[in-house]
Amino acid sequence: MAYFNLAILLSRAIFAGFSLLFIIVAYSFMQPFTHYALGHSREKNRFLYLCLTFIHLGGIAILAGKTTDVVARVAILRNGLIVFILMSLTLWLLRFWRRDKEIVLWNLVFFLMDMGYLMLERLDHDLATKQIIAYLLGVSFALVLPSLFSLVIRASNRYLYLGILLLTMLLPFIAGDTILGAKNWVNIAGLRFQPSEIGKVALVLYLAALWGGKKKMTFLEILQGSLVVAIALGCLIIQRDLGAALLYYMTFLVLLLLATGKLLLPLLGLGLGGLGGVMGYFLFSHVQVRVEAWQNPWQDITGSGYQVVQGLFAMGTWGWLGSGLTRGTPSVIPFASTDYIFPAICEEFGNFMGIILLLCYLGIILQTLQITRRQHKRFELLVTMGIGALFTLQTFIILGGVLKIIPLTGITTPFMSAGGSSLVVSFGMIGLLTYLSYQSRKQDIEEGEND
Amino acid sequence: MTKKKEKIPFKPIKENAKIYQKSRPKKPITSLENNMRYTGLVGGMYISLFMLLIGYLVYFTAFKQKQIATHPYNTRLNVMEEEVVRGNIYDANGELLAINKEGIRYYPQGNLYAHAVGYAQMGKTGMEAVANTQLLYPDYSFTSLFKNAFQNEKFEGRNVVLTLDQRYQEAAAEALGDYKGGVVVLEPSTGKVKAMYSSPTFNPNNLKENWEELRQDTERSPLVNRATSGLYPPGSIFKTLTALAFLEEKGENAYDFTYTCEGEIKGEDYTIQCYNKTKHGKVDLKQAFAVSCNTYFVKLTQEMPIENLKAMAEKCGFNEVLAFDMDHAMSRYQLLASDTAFEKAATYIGQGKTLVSPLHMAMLAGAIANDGILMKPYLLDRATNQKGTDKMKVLPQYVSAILDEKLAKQMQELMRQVVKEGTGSKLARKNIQVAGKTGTAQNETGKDHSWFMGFATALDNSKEPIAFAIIVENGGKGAKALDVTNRLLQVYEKIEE
Repeated sequence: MAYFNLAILLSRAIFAGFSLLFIIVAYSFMQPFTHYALGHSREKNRFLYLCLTFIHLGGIAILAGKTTDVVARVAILRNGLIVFILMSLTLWLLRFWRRDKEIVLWNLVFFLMDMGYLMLERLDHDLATKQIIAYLLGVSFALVLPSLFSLVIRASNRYLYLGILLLTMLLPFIAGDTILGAKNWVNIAGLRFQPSEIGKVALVLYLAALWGGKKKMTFLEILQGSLVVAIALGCLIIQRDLGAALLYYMTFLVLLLLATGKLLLPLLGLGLGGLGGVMGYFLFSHVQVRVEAWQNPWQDITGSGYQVVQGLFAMGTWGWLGSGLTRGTPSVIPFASTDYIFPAICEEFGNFMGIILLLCYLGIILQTLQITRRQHKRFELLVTMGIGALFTLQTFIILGGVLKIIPLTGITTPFMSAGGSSLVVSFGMIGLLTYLSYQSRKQDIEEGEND
Repeated sequence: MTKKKEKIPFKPIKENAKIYQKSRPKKPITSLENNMRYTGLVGGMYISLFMLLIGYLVYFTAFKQKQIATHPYNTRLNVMEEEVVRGNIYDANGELLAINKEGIRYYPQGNLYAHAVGYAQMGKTGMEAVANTQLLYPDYSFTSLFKNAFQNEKFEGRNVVLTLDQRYQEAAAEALGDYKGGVVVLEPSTGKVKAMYSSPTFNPNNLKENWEELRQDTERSPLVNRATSGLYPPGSIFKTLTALAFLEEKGENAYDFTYTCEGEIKGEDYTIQCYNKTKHGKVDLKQAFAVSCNTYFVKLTQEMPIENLKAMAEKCGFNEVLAFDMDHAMSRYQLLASDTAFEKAATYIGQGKTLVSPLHMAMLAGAIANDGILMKPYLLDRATNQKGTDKMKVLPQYVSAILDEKLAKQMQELMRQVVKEGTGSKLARKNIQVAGKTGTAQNETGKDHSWFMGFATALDNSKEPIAFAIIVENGGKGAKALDVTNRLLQVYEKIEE
């Protein structure tokens, strides 16, 4: 057993090393760096795949090795194999369909997904198994749907989006469950999901459709958009999903800024938002608890500050390389499988890995910005910037809360948290991005030809 | 594998241009930027948010990590107990206080440090608890990894060096003798705790065998660390706070207020006497403080509103957790406007519902000696690996300026008078200036407790001052606390820095 422990301690360096190589090569695809190309795309993508493979197999080997029960061990190996096949197959399919340009984005997403999976497998095997189903669903969704998207994603489908948005907002009132104080879960035929996750995409699509028409926007259009957002916010606040409310509002402000081209309105909106936040502080007791825990969690370590403190302990005890997979105690952290999956990963894989994960998210955003630059029409541009906003803001809200930069808000970490709806919707957004990227490329070539 | 480039056949210029444009898709970026402003700004905002997260994580790992890892509430490294040999504990001069011998924790100094160092089985107390993460911090050097893997040896934890000084500790134990009580000696300029002793004590080497007996001994409570967690009525030492509150309110005019002491004072519902009904005659603040005149301080109930006293008490750390890492009790100050006149009068002279711990009083004495600045008291000085290299060092930590510098200096003068001309004259010495306040606290047993809190400075400034607080339970007759203080001062005189 001592050999195995030694192996786990050494594995920390291996994980760190491969992820460093991964991120360097991945960033060589990003716009500012393409001068420093490092090689041909095909080879680079293969290298990314190699890094991913080593990390994944290494993690599975440790997890399987640590389990003493043979049945459990087989189950872990089975799960690990499924995820491996999923990733390999997807990447191969992308090459086969000549969608090479997107592979970097998918690699980044898979890296995040894989780290999330390894930690979930380590925390709770059954949860990991359920999550695999979500992975399969999400990936197929993202691969296949672009073909279907061409019908659905049009500026003219404005009212379709509005309908979906309102449906997702109102659904919890009709058929909702209250979990952990927030009434934003819906149970349909045994399948539990969060409609606000779908709603956020619908929101972006709706606002993009509404404001993506002409160059100059009328006041009426602004008002219409604001009204819809206000209704959505109202619903969310009543359902006590304050994290989603924050996300919706900030995304709305970003789209407003881009669509109107005036700095004044969003700044006013920020001010209003600040006011709303202060009001929320006085109205909601649990907001006060969160703010107190943010300002000084050490005062009530066993009570209100427990989650924040455990997160800080997890990230602070082991340093850059972490404790080694299975050698830490991430299960002590409340909600380690959802909100707090990032500190759990930082604890066992090291803070260095945490930085690389943050760089992965940034990489996805950079790819999104690259896709944005290729867009011709306002509608698509707003959609891509909106998706970028959703990813950035969501990640910032939860990780900022975990790192104690801002008060903690209950919202999932894209791709890493356990949670079917969040995962499927995030993959859906990636699918949307790749569709828009592909479409704009097609348009470029068409326009190039029609001269 | 690179795609083979299509060979472009030579054609007249116009057609070439067409083919050229075909193979190079247009990038309509300029038209876009006219189309939508602020995409750059928003994109930049996305990037900055992530840079903020990354930057903070880097900062966190590089700088805050040490505090977090060794926080007493962090149980992560406890898991390491199976795999790590607990480190040794030493005092400031290198005396061995705790070591693992054949898998059993052994304390060479026995009951002398039973409370300060504490124990690690049957729960964790004292420095064994506070320094737990350091003691179990595995040394992942190459040699130890090798030994762990191939020779199946456990990793070694760090050794910990405390600020305690055996000379003070032994003096305190010797002087306290069979009496119950607590002693805290610290260095006001840094916060280093030189001695922490509680009596009655016990032998931590026989903890397991005597566990039930020790736990059930509620009469003597040997397991309680009286220095940090013993709460007692302060008696006359509380006059320090009353005087501070009065000085703060009146400033220099405080000295103008005089009162003629007749040995006893009558109020609405009480009669309070000075010790032995002594008539002190006409006294001002300085004299009353020096001789500990009860009636003067009771008269202050009419000169100074009780809100001032409450404010001063809270400034000085009453009713709150102290800036100290070991488990300790909170001192209590409870006086409401609705309390009786007797309660008020009693509180002004340190009786009533007020309770304090020796640690708190030593901290207060230290803050006064340090011109009003409170430094965080600490016992853990540094942690080293088995080879002796420092791995972690604790630096003195500034807590706050609880008293104005001028106010602190005024109080220093009052305290010096106590030793020059007052109840503490027994402590006067040639080369050291001693200052403080004596106290005799009445309690339920009828036998008063004996208190002394104060500080000592070397007249030639050859060494750092020390501050201390001593309580001797039921030692009121003969002011036993002064004997203990004397013994500590003997050590201070001889110490060379």
